[in-house]
Amino acid sequence: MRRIHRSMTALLFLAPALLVYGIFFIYPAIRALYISLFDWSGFIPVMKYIGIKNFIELSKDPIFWKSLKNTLFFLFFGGIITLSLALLFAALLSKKKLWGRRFFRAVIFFPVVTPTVGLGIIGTFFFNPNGILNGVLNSLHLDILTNSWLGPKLAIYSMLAAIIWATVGFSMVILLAGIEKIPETYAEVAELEGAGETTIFFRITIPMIWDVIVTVIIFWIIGALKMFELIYTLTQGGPNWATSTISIFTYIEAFGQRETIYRMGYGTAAGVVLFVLVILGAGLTMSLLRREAIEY
Amino acid sequence: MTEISRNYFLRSRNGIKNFARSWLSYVILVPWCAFTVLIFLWLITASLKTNRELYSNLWGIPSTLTWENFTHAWSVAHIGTYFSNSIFIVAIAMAATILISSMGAYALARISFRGSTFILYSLIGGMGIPVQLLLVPLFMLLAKMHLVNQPLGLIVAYVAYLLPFSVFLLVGFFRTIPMEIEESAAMDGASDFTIFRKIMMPLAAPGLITALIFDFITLWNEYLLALVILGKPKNWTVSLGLYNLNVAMGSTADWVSLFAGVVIIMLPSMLLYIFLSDRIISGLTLGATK
Repeated sequence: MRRIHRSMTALLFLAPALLVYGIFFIYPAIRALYISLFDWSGFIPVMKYIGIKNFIELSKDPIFWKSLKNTLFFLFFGGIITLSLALLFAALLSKKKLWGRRFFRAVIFFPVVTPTVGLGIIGTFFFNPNGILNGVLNSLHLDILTNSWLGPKLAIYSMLAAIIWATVGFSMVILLAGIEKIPETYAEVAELEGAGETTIFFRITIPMIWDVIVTVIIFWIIGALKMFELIYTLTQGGPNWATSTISIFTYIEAFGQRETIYRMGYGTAAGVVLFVLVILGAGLTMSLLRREAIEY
Repeated sequence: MTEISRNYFLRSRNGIKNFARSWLSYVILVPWCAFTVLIFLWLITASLKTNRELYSNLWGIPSTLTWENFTHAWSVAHIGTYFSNSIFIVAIAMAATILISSMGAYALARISFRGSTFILYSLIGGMGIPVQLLLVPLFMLLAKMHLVNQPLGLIVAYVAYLLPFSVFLLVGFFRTIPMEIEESAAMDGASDFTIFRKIMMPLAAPGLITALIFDFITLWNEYLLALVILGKPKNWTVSLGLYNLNVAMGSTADWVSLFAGVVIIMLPSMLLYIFLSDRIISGLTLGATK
Protein backbone atom coordinates (compact mmCIF):
# COMPACT_ATOMS: atom_id res chain seq x y z
CA MET A 1 0.00 0.00 0.00
CA ARG A 2 2.78 2.38 1.00
CA ARG A 3 4.69 1.37 -2.11
CA ILE A 4 1.81 2.38 -4.35
CA HIS A 5 1.44 5.60 -2.43
CA ARG A 6 5.13 6.38 -2.96
CA SER A 7 4.86 5.71 -6.70
CA MET A 8 1.87 8.01 -6.93
CA THR A 9 3.77 10.77 -5.17
CA ALA A 10 6.74 10.30 -7.47
CA LEU A 11 4.56 10.48 -10.55
CA LEU A 12 2.87 13.60 -9.21
CA PHE A 13 6.26 15.25 -8.82
CA LEU A 14 7.28 14.12 -12.28
CA ALA A 15 4.01 14.95 -14.02
CA PRO A 16 4.77 18.54 -15.12
CA ALA A 17 8.20 17.64 -16.45
CA LEU A 18 6.96 14.56 -18.27
CA LEU A 19 4.01 16.44 -19.72
CA VAL A 20 6.11 19.25 -21.21
CA TYR A 21 8.87 16.88 -22.28
CA GLY A 22 6.41 14.43 -23.81
CA ILE A 23 4.42 17.00 -25.74
CA PHE A 24 7.17 19.33 -26.91
CA PHE A 25 10.11 16.96 -27.23
CA ILE A 26 9.27 13.26 -27.52
CA TYR A 27 6.13 13.69 -29.58
CA PRO A 28 7.85 15.92 -32.20
CA ALA A 29 10.81 13.53 -32.30
CA ILE A 30 8.56 10.58 -33.13
CA ARG A 31 6.43 12.65 -35.44
CA ALA A 32 9.60 13.59 -37.34
CA LEU A 33 10.10 9.97 -38.35
CA TYR A 34 6.57 10.00 -39.76
CA ILE A 35 6.90 13.34 -41.54
CA SER A 36 10.10 12.17 -43.23
CA LEU A 37 7.91 9.78 -45.27
CA PHE A 38 5.86 12.58 -46.82
CA ASP A 39 6.18 15.09 -49.58
CA TRP A 40 5.02 18.21 -47.86
CA SER A 41 5.55 21.91 -48.31
CA GLY A 42 4.17 22.79 -44.90
CA PHE A 43 1.80 25.51 -45.98
CA ILE A 44 -0.75 23.35 -47.72
CA PRO A 45 -2.59 20.91 -45.49
CA VAL A 46 -2.12 18.03 -47.93
CA MET A 47 0.73 15.73 -47.03
CA LYS A 48 1.47 13.22 -49.71
CA TYR A 49 2.75 9.87 -48.51
CA ILE A 50 5.74 8.84 -50.57
CA GLY A 51 7.39 6.16 -48.43
CA ILE A 52 11.15 6.28 -48.45
CA LYS A 53 11.36 8.45 -51.55
CA ASN A 54 12.79 11.36 -49.54
CA PHE A 55 15.65 9.15 -48.46
CA ILE A 56 16.19 7.94 -52.02
CA GLU A 57 16.28 11.55 -53.17
CA LEU A 58 18.79 12.35 -50.42
CA SER A 59 21.03 9.55 -51.64
CA LYS A 60 21.09 11.17 -55.07
CA ASP A 61 21.43 14.76 -53.90
CA PRO A 62 25.05 15.89 -54.37
CA ILE A 63 24.56 18.69 -51.87
CA PHE A 64 23.42 16.24 -49.25
CA TRP A 65 26.55 14.17 -49.88
CA LYS A 66 28.70 17.28 -49.70
CA SER A 67 27.05 18.14 -46.38
CA LEU A 68 27.52 14.60 -45.10
CA LYS A 69 31.17 14.67 -46.10
CA ASN A 70 31.70 17.97 -44.30
CA THR A 71 29.87 16.69 -41.24
CA LEU A 72 32.15 13.67 -41.05
CA PHE A 73 35.20 15.86 -41.69
CA PHE A 74 34.35 18.06 -38.70
CA LEU A 75 33.42 15.02 -36.67
CA PHE A 76 36.68 13.10 -37.23
CA PHE A 77 39.38 15.69 -37.80
CA GLY A 78 37.76 18.19 -35.49
CA GLY A 79 37.40 15.44 -32.92
CA ILE A 80 40.97 14.22 -33.12
CA ILE A 81 42.45 17.72 -32.92
CA THR A 82 40.03 19.10 -30.34
CA LEU A 83 40.25 16.13 -28.01
CA SER A 84 44.05 15.87 -28.26
CA LEU A 85 44.37 19.57 -27.53
CA ALA A 86 41.87 19.31 -24.70
CA LEU A 87 43.80 16.41 -23.20
CA LEU A 88 47.07 18.31 -23.56
CA PHE A 89 45.65 21.43 -21.90
CA ALA A 90 44.08 19.34 -19.15
CA ALA A 91 47.36 17.55 -18.49
CA LEU A 92 49.27 20.84 -18.31
CA LEU A 93 46.67 22.50 -16.12
CA SER A 94 46.44 19.57 -13.72
CA LYS A 95 49.86 20.49 -12.30
CA LYS A 96 49.09 22.23 -9.06
CA LYS A 97 52.32 24.20 -9.13
CA LEU A 98 51.59 25.87 -12.44
CA TRP A 99 51.24 29.58 -11.84
CA GLY A 100 48.00 31.02 -13.23
CA ARG A 101 46.30 27.71 -13.92
CA ARG A 102 42.84 28.93 -12.92
CA PHE A 103 43.22 31.90 -15.21
CA PHE A 104 44.29 29.71 -18.13
CA ARG A 105 41.43 27.34 -17.52
CA ALA A 106 38.92 30.19 -17.40
CA VAL A 107 40.23 31.77 -20.61
CA ILE A 108 40.29 28.53 -22.60
CA PHE A 109 36.73 27.77 -21.48
CA PHE A 110 35.39 31.27 -22.10
CA PRO A 111 34.28 30.86 -25.76
CA VAL A 112 32.02 28.00 -24.62
CA VAL A 113 29.82 30.37 -22.60
CA THR A 114 29.94 33.21 -25.12
CA PRO A 115 26.89 33.72 -27.37
CA THR A 116 27.72 31.79 -30.51
CA VAL A 117 26.21 34.35 -32.83
CA GLY A 118 28.72 36.81 -31.37
CA LEU A 119 31.56 34.37 -32.03
CA GLY A 120 30.32 33.93 -35.58
CA ILE A 121 30.38 37.68 -36.16
CA ILE A 122 33.86 38.02 -34.68
CA GLY A 123 34.90 35.13 -36.93
CA THR A 124 33.41 36.82 -39.98
CA PHE A 125 35.60 39.85 -39.42
CA PHE A 126 38.60 37.79 -38.33
CA PHE A 127 38.63 35.92 -41.65
CA ASN A 128 37.40 38.87 -43.73
CA PRO A 129 39.74 39.79 -46.63
CA ASN A 130 40.30 43.16 -44.94
CA GLY A 131 39.96 41.68 -41.48
CA ILE A 132 42.12 40.70 -38.57
CA LEU A 133 44.00 37.68 -39.90
CA ASN A 134 45.08 39.29 -43.14
CA GLY A 135 45.81 42.49 -41.22
CA VAL A 136 48.20 40.65 -38.92
CA LEU A 137 49.89 38.96 -41.85
CA ASN A 138 50.28 42.27 -43.65
CA SER A 139 51.77 44.03 -40.67
CA LEU A 140 54.24 41.17 -40.29
CA HIS A 141 55.16 41.61 -43.97
CA LEU A 142 53.86 38.15 -44.69
CA ASP A 143 51.62 39.43 -47.46
CA ILE A 144 52.15 36.23 -49.43
CA LEU A 145 50.21 34.33 -46.85
CA THR A 146 47.15 36.56 -46.94
CA ASN A 147 44.24 34.69 -48.35
CA SER A 148 40.53 34.61 -48.82
CA TRP A 149 39.98 32.53 -45.71
CA LEU A 150 36.29 32.01 -46.19
CA GLY A 151 36.61 31.43 -49.93
CA PRO A 152 35.64 28.12 -51.53
CA LYS A 153 39.04 26.50 -51.00
CA LEU A 154 39.90 27.42 -47.45
CA ALA A 155 36.51 27.95 -45.83
CA ILE A 156 36.28 24.43 -44.46
CA TYR A 157 39.69 24.69 -42.77
CA SER A 158 38.95 28.12 -41.36
CA MET A 159 35.70 26.72 -40.05
CA LEU A 160 37.52 23.77 -38.53
CA ALA A 161 39.90 26.14 -36.74
CA ALA A 162 36.99 28.22 -35.45
CA ILE A 163 35.18 25.12 -34.19
CA ILE A 164 38.26 23.85 -32.38
CA TRP A 165 38.92 27.21 -30.74
CA ALA A 166 35.31 27.64 -29.67
CA THR A 167 34.76 24.15 -28.27
CA VAL A 168 38.05 22.85 -26.87
CA GLY A 169 37.37 24.36 -23.44
CA PHE A 170 34.33 22.18 -22.93
CA SER A 171 36.21 18.90 -23.33
CA MET A 172 39.16 20.31 -21.42
CA VAL A 173 37.31 21.10 -18.20
CA ILE A 174 35.70 17.67 -18.09
CA LEU A 175 39.05 15.91 -18.66
CA LEU A 176 40.72 18.17 -16.13
CA ALA A 177 38.12 17.33 -13.50
CA GLY A 178 38.72 13.65 -14.25
CA ILE A 179 42.49 13.98 -13.84
CA GLU A 180 42.11 15.91 -10.60
CA LYS A 181 40.11 13.07 -9.11
CA ILE A 182 43.01 10.62 -9.42
CA PRO A 183 44.71 10.27 -6.03
CA GLU A 184 48.21 11.73 -6.25
CA THR A 185 49.81 8.72 -4.59
CA TYR A 186 49.80 6.78 -7.87
CA ALA A 187 51.92 9.31 -9.68
CA GLU A 188 54.16 9.73 -6.64
CA VAL A 189 54.86 6.01 -6.41
CA ALA A 190 55.53 5.81 -10.13
CA GLU A 191 57.88 8.76 -9.90
CA LEU A 192 59.81 7.08 -7.09
CA GLU A 193 60.08 4.01 -9.28
CA GLY A 194 61.70 6.27 -11.84
CA ALA A 195 58.86 6.78 -14.30
CA GLY A 196 59.05 9.96 -16.35
CA GLU A 197 56.27 12.41 -16.84
CA THR A 198 55.19 11.05 -20.22
CA THR A 199 55.20 7.49 -18.92
CA ILE A 200 53.03 8.54 -15.99
CA PHE A 201 50.68 10.32 -18.36
CA PHE A 202 50.21 7.41 -20.74
CA ARG A 203 50.45 4.56 -18.23
CA ILE A 204 48.57 6.02 -15.28
CA THR A 205 46.61 9.13 -16.14
CA ILE A 206 45.00 7.95 -19.37
CA PRO A 207 43.93 4.51 -18.15
CA MET A 208 42.55 6.00 -14.96
CA ILE A 209 40.41 8.59 -16.70
CA TRP A 210 39.43 6.26 -19.52
CA ASP A 211 35.71 6.43 -18.74
CA VAL A 212 35.91 10.24 -18.65
CA ILE A 213 37.61 10.19 -22.06
CA VAL A 214 34.80 8.04 -23.44
CA THR A 215 32.24 10.47 -22.00
CA VAL A 216 34.05 13.38 -23.64
CA ILE A 217 34.15 11.55 -26.99
CA ILE A 218 30.40 10.93 -26.80
CA PHE A 219 29.74 14.56 -25.90
CA TRP A 220 31.91 15.57 -28.84
CA ILE A 221 30.06 13.32 -31.28
CA ILE A 222 26.67 14.64 -30.21
CA GLY A 223 27.86 18.25 -30.15
CA ALA A 224 29.70 18.08 -33.47
CA LEU A 225 26.76 16.51 -35.28
CA LYS A 226 24.29 19.01 -33.84
CA MET A 227 26.49 22.05 -34.37
CA PHE A 228 24.56 24.77 -36.14
CA GLU A 229 24.98 28.30 -34.82
CA LEU A 230 28.69 28.77 -35.40
CA ILE A 231 28.60 27.49 -38.97
CA TYR A 232 25.39 29.28 -39.85
CA THR A 233 26.53 32.63 -38.53
CA LEU A 234 30.00 32.34 -40.00
CA THR A 235 29.24 31.13 -43.53
CA GLN A 236 25.59 29.92 -43.72
CA GLY A 237 27.15 26.74 -45.05
CA GLY A 238 28.71 28.55 -47.99
CA PRO A 239 30.37 29.50 -50.19
CA ASN A 240 28.57 27.17 -52.52
CA TRP A 241 27.94 24.57 -49.78
CA ALA A 242 31.66 24.32 -48.96
CA THR A 243 30.96 24.34 -45.22
CA SER A 244 27.44 22.95 -45.16
CA THR A 245 26.70 20.12 -42.74
CA ILE A 246 23.64 17.91 -42.38
CA SER A 247 22.55 20.11 -39.54
CA ILE A 248 22.68 23.16 -41.83
CA PHE A 249 21.17 21.22 -44.74
CA THR A 250 18.17 20.17 -42.64
CA TYR A 251 17.31 23.74 -41.75
CA ILE A 252 17.98 25.13 -45.20
CA GLU A 253 15.79 22.55 -46.94
CA ALA A 254 12.95 22.55 -44.44
CA PHE A 255 12.67 26.30 -44.13
CA GLY A 256 13.03 27.25 -47.73
CA GLN A 257 16.51 28.71 -48.00
CA ARG A 258 17.65 26.57 -50.93
CA GLU A 259 14.61 27.00 -53.08
CA THR A 260 11.73 29.16 -51.98
CA ILE A 261 9.70 26.07 -51.16
CA TYR A 262 9.52 24.80 -47.61
CA ARG A 263 10.49 21.19 -48.20
CA MET A 264 9.54 20.02 -44.75
CA GLY A 265 9.36 16.31 -45.45
CA TYR A 266 12.67 16.31 -47.28
CA GLY A 267 14.43 18.45 -44.69
CA THR A 268 13.11 16.29 -41.87
CA ALA A 269 14.40 13.19 -43.65
CA ALA A 270 17.87 14.74 -43.43
CA GLY A 271 17.18 15.37 -39.74
CA VAL A 272 16.41 11.67 -39.34
CA VAL A 273 19.76 10.83 -40.95
CA LEU A 274 21.41 13.16 -38.45
CA PHE A 275 19.68 11.41 -35.57
CA VAL A 276 20.76 8.01 -36.88
CA LEU A 277 24.35 9.30 -37.04
CA VAL A 278 24.16 10.43 -33.42
CA ILE A 279 22.90 7.03 -32.30
CA LEU A 280 25.44 5.16 -34.42
CA GLY A 281 28.31 7.37 -33.30
CA ALA A 282 27.48 7.26 -29.61
CA GLY A 283 26.59 3.57 -29.71
CA LEU A 284 29.75 2.54 -31.56
CA THR A 285 31.94 4.61 -29.27
CA MET A 286 30.38 3.05 -26.22
CA SER A 287 30.59 -0.51 -27.41
CA LEU A 288 34.12 -0.18 -28.79
CA LEU A 289 35.76 1.95 -26.15
CA ARG A 290 33.95 1.39 -22.90
CA ARG A 291 35.93 -0.83 -20.59
CA GLU A 292 35.55 -1.85 -17.03
CA ALA A 293 36.13 1.34 -15.04
CA ILE A 294 39.17 1.25 -12.81
CA GLU A 295 38.04 1.70 -9.24
CA TYR A 296 40.11 3.94 -7.04
CA MET B 1 79.29 17.45 0.96
CA THR B 2 77.31 18.17 4.10
CA GLU B 3 73.77 16.94 4.46
CA ILE B 4 72.32 20.44 4.32
CA SER B 5 74.08 21.54 1.20
CA ARG B 6 73.21 18.27 -0.48
CA ASN B 7 69.54 18.81 0.28
CA TYR B 8 69.82 22.34 -0.95
CA PHE B 9 71.43 21.11 -4.12
CA LEU B 10 68.68 18.56 -4.70
CA ARG B 11 65.95 21.05 -4.01
CA SER B 12 67.30 23.69 -6.32
CA ARG B 13 67.76 21.07 -8.97
CA ASN B 14 64.09 20.18 -8.54
CA GLY B 15 63.24 23.85 -8.71
CA ILE B 16 65.02 24.21 -12.01
CA LYS B 17 63.41 21.04 -13.28
CA ASN B 18 59.98 22.33 -12.27
CA PHE B 19 60.60 25.58 -13.97
CA ALA B 20 61.79 23.84 -17.09
CA ARG B 21 58.64 21.77 -17.13
CA SER B 22 56.35 24.73 -16.52
CA TRP B 23 58.26 26.67 -19.11
CA LEU B 24 57.11 24.17 -21.69
CA SER B 25 53.55 24.43 -20.39
CA TYR B 26 53.66 28.20 -20.78
CA VAL B 27 54.90 27.92 -24.34
CA ILE B 28 51.71 26.04 -25.15
CA LEU B 29 49.22 27.80 -22.89
CA VAL B 30 50.26 31.42 -23.17
CA PRO B 31 49.86 31.85 -26.96
CA TRP B 32 46.45 30.17 -26.92
CA CYS B 33 45.16 32.26 -24.05
CA ALA B 34 46.78 35.45 -25.32
CA PHE B 35 45.00 34.94 -28.63
CA THR B 36 41.65 34.50 -26.91
CA VAL B 37 42.11 37.47 -24.60
CA LEU B 38 43.33 39.69 -27.44
CA ILE B 39 40.38 38.78 -29.65
CA PHE B 40 37.90 39.90 -27.02
CA LEU B 41 39.92 43.01 -26.09
CA TRP B 42 40.16 43.86 -29.77
CA LEU B 43 36.39 43.47 -30.09
CA ILE B 44 35.82 45.94 -27.27
CA THR B 45 38.23 48.53 -28.69
CA ALA B 46 36.79 48.05 -32.18
CA SER B 47 33.27 48.66 -30.89
CA LEU B 48 34.42 52.12 -29.79
CA LYS B 49 35.96 53.18 -33.09
CA THR B 50 34.43 54.82 -36.11
CA ASN B 51 34.10 52.70 -39.23
CA ARG B 52 36.84 54.72 -40.88
CA GLU B 53 39.18 54.23 -37.96
CA LEU B 54 38.46 50.52 -37.90
CA TYR B 55 40.45 50.16 -41.10
CA SER B 56 42.95 53.00 -40.74
CA ASN B 57 43.82 52.00 -37.19
CA LEU B 58 43.00 48.30 -37.01
CA TRP B 59 45.12 47.57 -33.94
CA GLY B 60 45.43 50.71 -31.91
CA ILE B 61 43.13 51.98 -29.23
CA PRO B 62 40.49 54.35 -30.57
CA SER B 63 41.53 58.03 -30.67
CA THR B 64 38.12 59.10 -29.40
CA LEU B 65 35.59 56.77 -27.85
CA THR B 66 32.60 56.52 -30.18
CA TRP B 67 29.84 55.66 -27.76
CA GLU B 68 27.33 56.39 -30.53
CA ASN B 69 27.96 52.86 -31.80
CA PHE B 70 26.29 51.55 -28.69
CA THR B 71 23.35 53.94 -28.75
CA HIS B 72 22.99 53.19 -32.46
CA ALA B 73 22.99 49.42 -31.91
CA TRP B 74 20.71 49.74 -28.89
CA SER B 75 17.98 51.91 -30.38
CA VAL B 76 18.35 52.25 -34.15
CA ALA B 77 19.19 48.59 -34.66
CA HIS B 78 16.65 47.65 -31.93
CA ILE B 79 19.11 45.57 -29.92
CA GLY B 80 17.47 47.17 -26.86
CA THR B 81 14.09 45.72 -27.78
CA TYR B 82 15.60 42.30 -28.49
CA PHE B 83 17.48 42.50 -25.22
CA SER B 84 14.32 42.98 -23.19
CA ASN B 85 12.50 40.31 -25.26
CA SER B 86 15.30 37.90 -24.43
CA ILE B 87 15.26 38.79 -20.74
CA PHE B 88 11.50 38.21 -20.62
CA ILE B 89 11.57 34.91 -22.51
CA VAL B 90 14.66 33.56 -20.79
CA ALA B 91 13.48 34.53 -17.29
CA ILE B 92 10.11 32.82 -17.62
CA ALA B 93 11.55 29.74 -19.30
CA MET B 94 14.21 29.46 -16.60
CA ALA B 95 11.74 29.81 -13.74
CA ALA B 96 9.42 27.19 -15.23
CA THR B 97 12.30 24.83 -16.01
CA ILE B 98 13.84 25.04 -12.58
CA LEU B 99 10.50 24.43 -10.90
CA ILE B 100 9.44 21.39 -12.88
CA SER B 101 12.91 19.90 -13.29
CA SER B 102 13.71 20.14 -9.58
CA MET B 103 10.41 18.44 -8.73
CA GLY B 104 11.11 15.73 -11.27
CA ALA B 105 14.73 15.32 -10.23
CA TYR B 106 13.67 15.05 -6.58
CA ALA B 107 11.30 12.18 -7.41
CA LEU B 108 13.94 10.43 -9.52
CA ALA B 109 16.75 10.84 -7.03
CA ARG B 110 14.97 10.33 -3.72
CA ILE B 111 11.89 8.17 -4.20
CA SER B 112 12.44 4.60 -5.30
CA PHE B 113 9.62 3.38 -7.49
CA ARG B 114 9.24 1.04 -10.39
CA GLY B 115 10.21 2.58 -13.71
CA SER B 116 12.28 5.41 -12.24
CA THR B 117 15.41 4.30 -14.08
CA PHE B 118 13.52 4.12 -17.35
CA ILE B 119 12.09 7.62 -16.88
CA LEU B 120 15.50 8.98 -15.89
CA TYR B 121 17.15 7.57 -19.00
CA SER B 122 14.34 8.70 -21.27
CA LEU B 123 14.75 12.23 -19.95
CA ILE B 124 18.54 12.28 -20.11
CA GLY B 125 18.47 10.61 -23.53
CA GLY B 126 16.94 13.83 -24.85
CA MET B 127 20.43 15.33 -24.75
CA GLY B 128 21.28 13.08 -27.68
CA ILE B 129 18.37 14.11 -29.87
CA PRO B 130 19.38 16.85 -32.29
CA VAL B 131 17.05 19.85 -32.26
CA GLN B 132 17.13 19.78 -36.07
CA LEU B 133 15.04 16.63 -35.96
CA LEU B 134 12.36 18.40 -33.95
CA LEU B 135 12.20 21.62 -35.93
CA VAL B 136 9.43 20.81 -38.39
CA PRO B 137 7.09 18.83 -36.12
CA LEU B 138 7.57 21.30 -33.29
CA PHE B 139 6.88 24.20 -35.63
CA MET B 140 3.67 22.51 -36.86
CA LEU B 141 2.57 21.65 -33.33
CA LEU B 142 3.07 25.23 -32.17
CA ALA B 143 1.30 26.49 -35.29
CA LYS B 144 -1.72 24.36 -34.41
CA MET B 145 -1.70 25.82 -30.92
CA HIS B 146 -1.38 29.34 -32.39
CA LEU B 147 1.92 29.73 -30.61
CA VAL B 148 4.14 30.42 -33.60
CA ASN B 149 5.42 34.01 -33.59
CA GLN B 150 4.51 34.18 -29.90
CA PRO B 151 7.02 34.51 -27.08
CA LEU B 152 5.00 31.85 -25.24
CA GLY B 153 5.64 29.36 -28.05
CA LEU B 154 9.37 29.84 -27.72
CA ILE B 155 9.12 29.63 -23.93
CA VAL B 156 7.47 26.18 -23.92
CA ALA B 157 9.95 24.95 -26.53
CA TYR B 158 12.79 26.24 -24.36
CA VAL B 159 11.48 24.51 -21.24
CA ALA B 160 11.31 21.19 -23.09
CA TYR B 161 14.74 21.85 -24.58
CA LEU B 162 16.33 22.54 -21.17
CA LEU B 163 14.70 19.68 -19.29
CA PRO B 164 17.11 16.83 -20.13
CA PHE B 165 20.23 18.66 -19.01
CA SER B 166 18.59 20.31 -15.98
CA VAL B 167 17.20 17.01 -14.72
CA PHE B 168 20.57 15.34 -15.31
CA LEU B 169 22.35 18.03 -13.31
CA LEU B 170 19.82 18.16 -10.47
CA VAL B 171 19.50 14.40 -10.00
CA GLY B 172 23.27 14.45 -9.47
CA PHE B 173 22.89 17.16 -6.84
CA PHE B 174 19.96 15.61 -5.00
CA ARG B 175 21.85 12.34 -4.74
CA THR B 176 24.68 14.00 -2.85
CA ILE B 177 22.35 15.08 -0.03
CA PRO B 178 22.37 12.56 2.84
CA MET B 179 19.20 10.47 3.15
CA GLU B 180 19.02 10.73 6.96
CA ILE B 181 17.70 14.27 6.89
CA GLU B 182 14.52 13.49 5.04
CA GLU B 183 14.09 10.15 6.79
CA SER B 184 13.92 11.87 10.14
CA ALA B 185 11.56 14.47 8.71
CA ALA B 186 9.34 11.67 7.38
CA MET B 187 9.37 10.07 10.84
CA ASP B 188 8.09 13.34 12.23
CA GLY B 189 5.19 13.06 9.83
CA ALA B 190 6.23 15.53 7.15
CA SER B 191 4.69 14.84 3.73
CA ASP B 192 6.76 14.55 0.55
CA PHE B 193 5.71 18.02 -0.49
CA THR B 194 6.79 19.52 2.81
CA ILE B 195 10.10 17.67 2.67
CA PHE B 196 10.66 18.85 -0.87
CA ARG B 197 9.77 22.46 -0.19
CA LYS B 198 11.17 22.96 3.30
CA ILE B 199 14.16 20.65 3.36
CA MET B 200 15.34 19.62 -0.10
CA MET B 201 15.03 22.93 -1.88
CA PRO B 202 17.17 24.89 0.61
CA LEU B 203 19.75 22.09 0.75
CA ALA B 204 19.89 21.86 -3.02
CA ALA B 205 20.21 25.63 -3.43
CA PRO B 206 23.79 25.48 -4.77
CA GLY B 207 22.66 22.90 -7.34
CA LEU B 208 19.66 24.98 -8.30
CA ILE B 209 21.85 28.03 -8.80
CA THR B 210 24.25 26.05 -11.01
CA ALA B 211 21.33 24.76 -13.07
CA LEU B 212 19.97 28.30 -13.38
CA ILE B 213 23.31 29.60 -14.62
CA PHE B 214 23.49 26.84 -17.20
CA ASP B 215 19.95 27.36 -18.34
CA PHE B 216 20.64 31.05 -18.66
CA ILE B 217 23.78 30.59 -20.75
CA THR B 218 22.09 28.01 -22.99
CA LEU B 219 19.02 30.13 -23.65
CA TRP B 220 20.82 33.45 -23.95
CA ASN B 221 22.94 31.86 -26.69
CA GLU B 222 20.15 29.87 -28.34
CA TYR B 223 19.51 30.69 -31.95
CA LEU B 224 18.00 27.89 -34.02
CA LEU B 225 14.70 27.41 -32.18
CA ALA B 226 14.18 31.16 -31.98
CA LEU B 227 14.91 31.43 -35.69
CA VAL B 228 12.23 28.91 -36.55
CA ILE B 229 9.57 29.88 -34.03
CA LEU B 230 9.78 33.67 -33.98
CA GLY B 231 9.04 35.29 -37.32
CA LYS B 232 8.11 38.83 -36.42
CA PRO B 233 11.04 41.13 -35.67
CA LYS B 234 9.25 42.75 -32.75
CA ASN B 235 9.43 39.49 -30.78
CA TRP B 236 13.00 38.61 -31.69
CA THR B 237 15.61 37.56 -29.16
CA VAL B 238 19.12 39.02 -29.05
CA SER B 239 20.74 36.27 -31.12
CA LEU B 240 18.19 36.71 -33.89
CA GLY B 241 18.44 40.48 -33.82
CA LEU B 242 22.19 40.41 -33.84
CA TYR B 243 22.41 37.93 -36.66
CA ASN B 244 19.99 40.01 -38.66
CA LEU B 245 22.14 43.05 -38.02
CA ASN B 246 25.03 41.00 -39.35
CA VAL B 247 23.11 40.26 -42.55
CA ALA B 248 22.10 43.90 -42.93
CA MET B 249 25.75 44.81 -42.46
CA GLY B 250 26.36 43.31 -45.87
CA SER B 251 24.86 46.47 -47.32
CA THR B 252 25.57 49.06 -44.62
CA ALA B 253 29.17 47.96 -43.88
CA ASP B 254 28.60 49.34 -40.40
CA TRP B 255 30.95 46.98 -38.61
CA VAL B 256 31.44 49.07 -35.51
CA SER B 257 27.76 49.13 -34.56
CA LEU B 258 27.67 45.39 -35.14
CA PHE B 259 30.62 44.98 -32.78
CA ALA B 260 28.86 47.18 -30.24
CA GLY B 261 25.87 44.84 -30.56
CA VAL B 262 28.12 41.83 -29.98
CA VAL B 263 29.57 43.47 -26.88
CA ILE B 264 26.06 44.18 -25.58
CA ILE B 265 24.85 40.61 -25.95
CA MET B 266 28.09 39.19 -24.54
CA LEU B 267 27.93 41.40 -21.47
CA PRO B 268 25.58 39.27 -19.33
CA SER B 269 27.50 36.04 -19.93
CA MET B 270 30.80 37.85 -19.46
CA LEU B 271 29.74 39.30 -16.10
CA LEU B 272 28.35 35.97 -14.94
CA TYR B 273 31.55 34.31 -15.99
CA ILE B 274 33.89 36.74 -14.26
CA PHE B 275 32.18 36.12 -10.92
CA LEU B 276 31.07 32.53 -11.28
CA SER B 277 33.46 30.75 -13.66
CA ASP B 278 34.58 28.29 -10.96
CA ARG B 279 31.02 27.39 -10.13
CA ILE B 280 30.06 27.05 -13.80
CA ILE B 281 33.00 24.77 -14.52
CA SER B 282 32.58 22.62 -11.41
CA GLY B 283 28.84 22.33 -12.00
CA LEU B 284 29.42 21.10 -15.52
CA THR B 285 31.96 18.50 -14.45
CA LEU B 286 29.88 17.23 -11.55
CA GLY B 287 27.60 15.21 -13.79
CA ALA B 288 30.07 14.36 -16.48
CA THR B 289 32.81 12.78 -14.41
CA LYS B 290 30.47 10.74 -12.25
